[in-house]
Order: sequence, then structure tokens, then C-alpha cells
Amino acid sequence: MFTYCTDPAALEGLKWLSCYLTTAKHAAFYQSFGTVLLLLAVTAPASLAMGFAGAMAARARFAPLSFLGKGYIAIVRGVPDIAFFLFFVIALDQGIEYLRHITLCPDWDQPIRQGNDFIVCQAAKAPLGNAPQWVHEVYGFGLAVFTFAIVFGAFAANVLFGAMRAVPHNQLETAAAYGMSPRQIFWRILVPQMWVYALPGLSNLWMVLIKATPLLFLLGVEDIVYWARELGGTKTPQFTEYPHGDWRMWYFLFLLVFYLAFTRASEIVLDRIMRRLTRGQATFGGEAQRKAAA
Amino acid sequence: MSCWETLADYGLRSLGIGERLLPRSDFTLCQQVVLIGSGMLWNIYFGTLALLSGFVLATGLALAKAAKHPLIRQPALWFIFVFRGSPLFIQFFFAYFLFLSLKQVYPILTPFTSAWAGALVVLFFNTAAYSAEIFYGALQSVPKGDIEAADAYGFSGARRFRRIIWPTMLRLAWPA
Amino acid sequence: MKKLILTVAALALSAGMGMAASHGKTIRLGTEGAYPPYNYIDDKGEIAGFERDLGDELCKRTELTCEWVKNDWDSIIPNLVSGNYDVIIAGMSITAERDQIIDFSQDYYPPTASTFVAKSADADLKGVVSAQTSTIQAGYIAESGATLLEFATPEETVAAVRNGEADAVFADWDYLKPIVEASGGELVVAGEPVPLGGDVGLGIRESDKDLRDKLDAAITAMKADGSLNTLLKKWFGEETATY
Repeated sequence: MFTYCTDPAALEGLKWLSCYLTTAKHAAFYQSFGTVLLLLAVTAPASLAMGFAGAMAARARFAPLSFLGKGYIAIVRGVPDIAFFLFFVIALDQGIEYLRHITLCPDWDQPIRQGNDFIVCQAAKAPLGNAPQWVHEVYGFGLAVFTFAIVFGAFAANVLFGAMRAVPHNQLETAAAYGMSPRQIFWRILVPQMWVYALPGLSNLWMVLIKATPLLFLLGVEDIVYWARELGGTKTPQFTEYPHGDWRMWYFLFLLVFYLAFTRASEIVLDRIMRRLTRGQATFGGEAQRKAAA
Repeated sequence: MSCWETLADYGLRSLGIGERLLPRSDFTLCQQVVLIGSGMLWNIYFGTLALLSGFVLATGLALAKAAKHPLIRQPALWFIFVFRGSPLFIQFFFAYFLFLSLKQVYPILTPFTSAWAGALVVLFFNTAAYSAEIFYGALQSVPKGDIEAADAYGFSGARRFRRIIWPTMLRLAWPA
Repeated sequence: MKKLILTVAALALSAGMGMAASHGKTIRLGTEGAYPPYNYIDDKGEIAGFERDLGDELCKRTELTCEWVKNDWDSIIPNLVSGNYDVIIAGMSITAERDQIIDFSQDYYPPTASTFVAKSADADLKGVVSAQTSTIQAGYIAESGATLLEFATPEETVAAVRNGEADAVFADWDYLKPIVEASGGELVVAGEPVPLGGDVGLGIRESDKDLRDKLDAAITAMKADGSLNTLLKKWFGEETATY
């Protein structure tokens, strides 16, 4: 990185540290923070969409649809997260491969399950065995995002379902009296007003989501936990230019600080959004804001 | 090996009672049920222990957070923030390594480096922080009238807390 | 939800077919990346070590395009069987137990001794001994009557001795040697070396006979022209066993 980094053994103190912290290996570590942020950035809207669809389904007048929505919420919420993550990712992976197997290799005559092994024909592997490494990484990441979205979608659906019911009923009746169609009432009256009721629940969910990101490690994605363990471990001089002792504690302290800063920043932002949404609402908070302004 | 023997040998294995080595081959259905069940016992044991001891600390933290003096309030605020604001998974890792390095300086901490003791400490602080937040919320919603009435009856500070505020707080916090 | 899964499956399906056409023969090499000098992650964040050099050379000789994949040790065999990569090149000893599940190439590293390393030479080798999960060393300790303390990575097994959790660590001497040398007397060899396990070979799926034959031929050639010995000396020192 820096010009004086050519011979790290001769360096000391801060200079050594500045070289050490800018190795290509550390760049991979910093990149994995990007992975976590990317996961959050993709998962949050995805679960919100899943949640919205789930809540809409759950309050539908068509019975089977409502049943489907409520069933989804109940099942996912009832199962512990970790069990779901470990089981669902494998099930999803094998499910995709099974579907591809049926379509791509119709004349395969061996059983798919041989003892502990799950064997499909080579053409049905997802991604293909000879695909470049980045495809494998993107695929693994995609599975993780999908699983997160399913799990957190159910929680979001529950929150939104409650929020939709919390919107004062006379507002909807007034809208109906003005001659609005059910669709118009939903999109123009219900949805804009429900957010203020949903936000406390959703922000709680966002915090839980942030704190669930180290689970990526369990899914085998090379995330910050993997790199913290790899970089923090004792390094002997023969295999690195920067030998050091067991520094795992400091790396995990760094992760701890990262998460604390992140949750704190989220709290502040969410507080602001809440204040903005409360404005002009017929709620306790809205009333307090009005009085303060007056 | 009959199923009953398996139960006797491994039923309480997770608590450190009975055989240490696992059966190495020929798993019977019974053995699987007993071993998984024994692991679950571990979960319940941990959960109860952490919950019970965390309960006391949580009450103290909730009171400290509600205190007026900043020297009492600030540490409680930080404690709750640290344990609620970061993933439990990272806390486990960090605490383990922290105990390992502290051990070099203070040998008295050696027992905490065994996985179960360290996990218990972290779990204990974690539950305490979460329930402290709930208790704090409950404390804030104890009706003002109750406290005024207690004052009128001449209850002293500690007695007022024990007889009036604390029971009401628990009742309010229970659903959460 | 079901529809969503189907849609995703269909997407994955079409994406996969597109890729199948555009790529030639690529072999994926799976390694642990935490077992120097066999394999480790260097300062550039890339896989390095004896097996990196060997693997690249084998790929050149067999004219295959190779790609390196990192995988945790404890799931390295299941992931080979399920096709996530095609070759295990991770200092894996050829044992009868493993040979039932996967195939091995011929050996590319002679049998080595495993040693106990502890803080003092007279450490209690029947006390708590750490070893890496599902290695031949872990199996040996479990049989020996000592209390086995297992860890997922070799790095952690040594750390356990340093911080006093284990009385000794039991692992390949090749792995422990640089650590003992760098420890400045903190860690020393305890007890006698144990000749354990067979040669080290490449792990390949049972169904991949063609690939195995190709790699076998390349290893034979490397043994014959002495280039394997050069690599062994480069990574394991002058006095290491050669072919």
C-alpha cells in the first residue's frame, strides 16, 4: 500500500500497523463489511415486500388466500431462527437441484438419495460445477438473502397486519361514504396511515435483522466473523510478513464496536423518521407534537 | 445395552453427570433420543439459570437507569446499550477471547474460560440487559397515584419500593 | 410463496443453462486455507503454500483450467461428494475409512510423523489433548485414553495449549514445526513422535475416474523428473522425506 511497506520486518509501531492494516488480506476483511451492508440493503426491502404481500394476503376476503398468509406468518414465527436458517438453506439448494435434475436429466436411473449423499446429475448442479468462483459466491449469497427475506418477511407481515388493523376504522368508513372503492380505500387511506403504527415494530425488526447478520457465518459465506478469526489467529514469521500473536480478541472487539455504532446510528435515523411520520396524526404522539408547536 | 441403561448413563450427561465419552458406533434410536434430549436439558438449564440470576440484576439496572444521578444512570445506560446493541454471537466470541487474555493476568478468572461458564456469564448479562429495558418501561408506567398514596401512608423509600412499586412494576412487565 | 420458489428455481435453471454453454472444462480445487505449510492464506488474501504450488503445477501439466476454493475442514468431504468442487487438496492422509467414501490419487507426500507439542517437555500426554476435528490425530487421541478437546481449525488447537486449556496439542509435525520454532521456547515437543496414517493424496469423487487418472499421471511425472522433490524441500526444509 504505502511505499515504505516493502520491508515490514524493519518497521515498528504505528508505521508497522499502518502497513499491516492495509494488506490485501485486510482489504478482504473490509470488503466483508460491505457484504454485510449489502445483505442488509437487499434483505430489508425484500422482507418488507414479502411482509406487505403476506399482510395483504392475510387480510384478504378470499378465504384460502387469507389462510395462506396467516399460515405463513404462524409457521415461520413459530420456528427458531437458527433451525430455520440451517434447514431452509439446504432444503432450498437441494430443491432447486432436484427441479433441474428432473427437467435436465430425464433418463437418469439411479436413486437421488444414496445414503447420506444427495446426488443429481452433473448438468443439474446449481451452480454448475465448472462455473467461475464468483457465480458460486453470488449463488450462496442469494440463498442467504432469500432465506433472510422469508424469515423476516413473516415478522414484517405480522407487524404490518397489526398496523393495518390499528388504523382508525371510522377513517375507512368515511372513505367508503365518499364513494371510494375498496381498492382506493386500501391504497389511499389505509396504506399511507398505517406506517406510523407499523414503524415501532419495523424498527425493532430492523435491529433484530442487524443482529442476525453474523448468522451468515453459519451459512458458510465468508463474512466478517470468518475473516476476524482468520486474521486474528497467531501468525508465524515463515508464512507472513507480519507475524503476531493471538489477536482475535481485538478483532472481535472491533466487530462489537462496529455493530454498536451501526445500531446506534439506526436508532437515531429511525427516531427522526418516527417524528416525521407522527406529524399530523391522530395519535398521542401527534397530539403532543401539535401542542409543542402551538 | 438396554434403553434404560442408556438413559441412566447419558440422561444427565450435559450436566456433567454420568459417562463422558459418547457411544462410538451402532446408534440406536433410543440413544439418539436420549442424547438429543440431554442436549435440550442443557438449553433449559442454561435458560433458567440465566433468567433467574438475570432477573435480580435487571431490576437493579432498571432502577439505575431511572435514577437522577448521572454517575448511576450512565453506567446502566451503557451496559444496556452494549448488550442490546450487538449480536449475541459476537458477544460470545469476544467474551471468550477476553477471558482468555484476562486469565494470563488474573489467574482467578480461569474457570470462566471453560466454554459453559463463559457462555453463562454472557447470557446472564444479555438477559439482564433486555429485561432491564422492559422493567424500565414498566417502571415508567407505574401510576403516579400509587406512589403519592404510598407517600401519604408514610411509607419510607425502601419499603415503598418493595411493597408498592416493585409489585406493580412486575405486573406491568409480565406480558413482555 | 410457492410461486416465488418456483420462479426463483426457473431463474436459476435458465441462468445455469446459459453458463453451461459458455464455459469450458474448469476443475475446482478445494482446500482448507488454514494449515501451513500445506495451505494457508497469505498477506494478499490468496491461497498459498505447498499445495498451491503443487496444484498449479498439476493443472499446467494436465492442461486443465483450475480454480481454488476455500472450504472448512469438517465439511470438506461432504462438499466434494455433493459436487461443490472436484478435488480435495488439503494435506489429507489416505485412510481406509475415507477411501470408502471418496477416491484418492497416488500419494504426493510421504508418510509423516505426528507429534505432541506442549509448554513443557514433560507435559501430561494422558491429560487434555487438543486436535482438529475429524483428523487421524483426533481419532488417535480418542483411542489413547487421553481427554480429547476438538477444534474446527488447527490454529485453535495450538491456541488452546498457549492459553492453558489443553495440556498438549497433537498434530502433524510439519504443521507444528514452524510454530514451535517461532514461539521462542514457549512451546516444545513433548514425548516421542508417533508415525501415524499413510501418505497424503488428492481426494476425488469415486465417479471421476478420468480426472483421477490424469492427475495420477501428472504426479508420476513430477516424481520422475524431481520437481516434486524440489517443491517438498522448498516448503518443508532440506531434511524432509522425499521420493
